[in-house]
Amino acid sequence: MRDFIERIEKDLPGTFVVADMEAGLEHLSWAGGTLRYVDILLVVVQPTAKVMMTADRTHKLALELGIPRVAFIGNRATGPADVERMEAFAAERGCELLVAIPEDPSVPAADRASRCVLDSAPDCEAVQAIGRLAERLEGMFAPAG
Amino acid sequence: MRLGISGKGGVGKTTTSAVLSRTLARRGHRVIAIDCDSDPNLGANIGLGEEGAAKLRPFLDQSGPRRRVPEGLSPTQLLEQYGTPGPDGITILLGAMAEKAGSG
Repeated sequence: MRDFIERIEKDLPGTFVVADMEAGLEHLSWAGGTLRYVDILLVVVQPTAKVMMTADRTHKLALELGIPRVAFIGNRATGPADVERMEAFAAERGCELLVAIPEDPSVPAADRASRCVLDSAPDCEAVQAIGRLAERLEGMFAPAG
Repeated sequence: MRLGISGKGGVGKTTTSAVLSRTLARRGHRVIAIDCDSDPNLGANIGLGEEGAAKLRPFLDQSGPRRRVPEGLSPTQLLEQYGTPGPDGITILLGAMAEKAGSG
């Protein structure tokens, strides 16, 4: 997996590879680390202590592994206090919170219907937030000039 | 532009990955979505449906002690052989699936 992620950029330059990892830290702590060759690690967080503890460990391992960039994605924000808490968490680590996805009932509803929320609720707040995330990522990796 | 999506279980990694992959594709990018979970469900989240997701087959060789990409295949060849077309023109790759208990 690591080899594939390393070589894909040369084979198909400009491709966006989205690697959805397993829960836990194995992909970062295994010898060599599956994720060693990603250009950015996006750590999804929620405004709870348990989730942020895992995110903190993930961030530390990513730095040890030499991943060039780490950023956070806030999820299930129920209001400004949640957003602020997650922004502060990111800032304390010198990272950005790229987006705060609001708590959105369309997401679990799509899950129950075995559908993608992009199909079942294309205009819901969560989908709109992920649209903003896509724009941010495009901006970060746009070719210079 | 290789993005790794990580986080504690249940935090929303897979939904975020699925929607992000398709959104990037709709914005004109070539997108490869890789499910690196040994209990995979990205395919279903992306909108393949349960039946479509069940047809995905893993590309990592699971016969050895370490799961490895098949020898001698370039990423392009691997995509041709193991990639599954998904909505909005994305390609879905399934890394591994735990099929046998205790097989490492």
